[in-house]
Amino acid sequence: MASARLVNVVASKAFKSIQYSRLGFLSISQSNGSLKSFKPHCRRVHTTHLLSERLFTKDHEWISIENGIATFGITDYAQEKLGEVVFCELPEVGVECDKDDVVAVVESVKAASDIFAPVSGEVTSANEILSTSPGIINTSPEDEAWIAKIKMTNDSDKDGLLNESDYKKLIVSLE
Amino acid sequence: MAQFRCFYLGKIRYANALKLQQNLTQWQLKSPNANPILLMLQHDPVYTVGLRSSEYDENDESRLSALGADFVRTNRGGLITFHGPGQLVVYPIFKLADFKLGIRKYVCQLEATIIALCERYELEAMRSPHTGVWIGNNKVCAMGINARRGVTSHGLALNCNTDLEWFNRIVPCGIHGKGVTSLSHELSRDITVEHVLPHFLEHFSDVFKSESLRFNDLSDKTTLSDLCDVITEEKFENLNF
Repeated sequence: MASARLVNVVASKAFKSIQYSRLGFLSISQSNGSLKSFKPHCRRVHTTHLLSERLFTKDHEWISIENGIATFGITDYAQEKLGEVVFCELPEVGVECDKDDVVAVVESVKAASDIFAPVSGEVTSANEILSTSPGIINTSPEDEAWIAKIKMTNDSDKDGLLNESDYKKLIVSLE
Repeated sequence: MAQFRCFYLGKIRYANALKLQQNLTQWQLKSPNANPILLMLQHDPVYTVGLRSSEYDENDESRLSALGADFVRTNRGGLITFHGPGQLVVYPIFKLADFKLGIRKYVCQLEATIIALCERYELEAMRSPHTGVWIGNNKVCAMGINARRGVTSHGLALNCNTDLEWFNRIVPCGIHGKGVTSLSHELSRDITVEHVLPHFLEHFSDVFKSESLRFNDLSDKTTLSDLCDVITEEKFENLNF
């Protein structure tokens, strides 16, 4: 019933991904072959694309930039504040957007929340899974529930974005 | 906590109120010192739908318009609802972070305000898995919010002595098997918006811990730009209850 996967670090910009089962137990094999279980003290962490930068906006979006394509979604902090997501309005593929245009909307049982384009460019794909299963925004906001990909027209758009450490400080300041 | 500035706008067409909200939302986003705003008003008869408006097509639109109501598609959460005379509509427009609120907690506090208000009228109201405030199986107050960069708009609609017949033409909020009610219907006596208003403000102030609320009646203002000027530039006399 407990399940865990440990992903090895292969490059300096990637980091370990540890997935916790619903019961919150992490199992690791000991050298004598037996399984040791212990309850982790931290919440789930997100995976990240190898060799890509992960940045954040003040509006609680994460962005992963790789080869000039920015993939983005909303952060775990954002989904937790929204509540159960019931609908996601995705951008149209092929549409040009400017940084800070409303590019998507996430509706929870409580409210509809506008999502802004973190960078300017052309929307190259939208995550269709969110049309039928918007709830994965709650369960996997920073991994499976990416919203769309934008082919960046302006590399300097990423200059105004926050790194992970600054984003974490922002969250702490809001509580 | 910052002090809410509260304005009663009288009866205003939905489309105009929407423009006003959009202007005030932009103002909140641009001005770091913008005060939190509470708009209270009534609408002329109108059916509104939220973000998932594709669930209501042109047939629905013409059918409902033929009844003498406007039909407007909006960017709030929630499905279809009705607004009309006798219903207290409240649009709080402010930065959630100024009150250390996330959307969930904010909606919870709006629900708490209405529940306390109903209790004052000796009515037992409650929450349910469906957003809004219920008396038994019937919704007395609908809620639908939009949040843009942490600034909220849209809000709630409390049936005081609304003509409930308008709700019979729709499945309110898309929820089958449940009904709609009003304070007047529950109490078998006429409870007007004007009667409820000061009590609403009192409970809102309690729940949101905004110590005192500055209130102004702007129902004599006829243009949107007049309303905007007064609300954002604060050129008005201070009136108290």
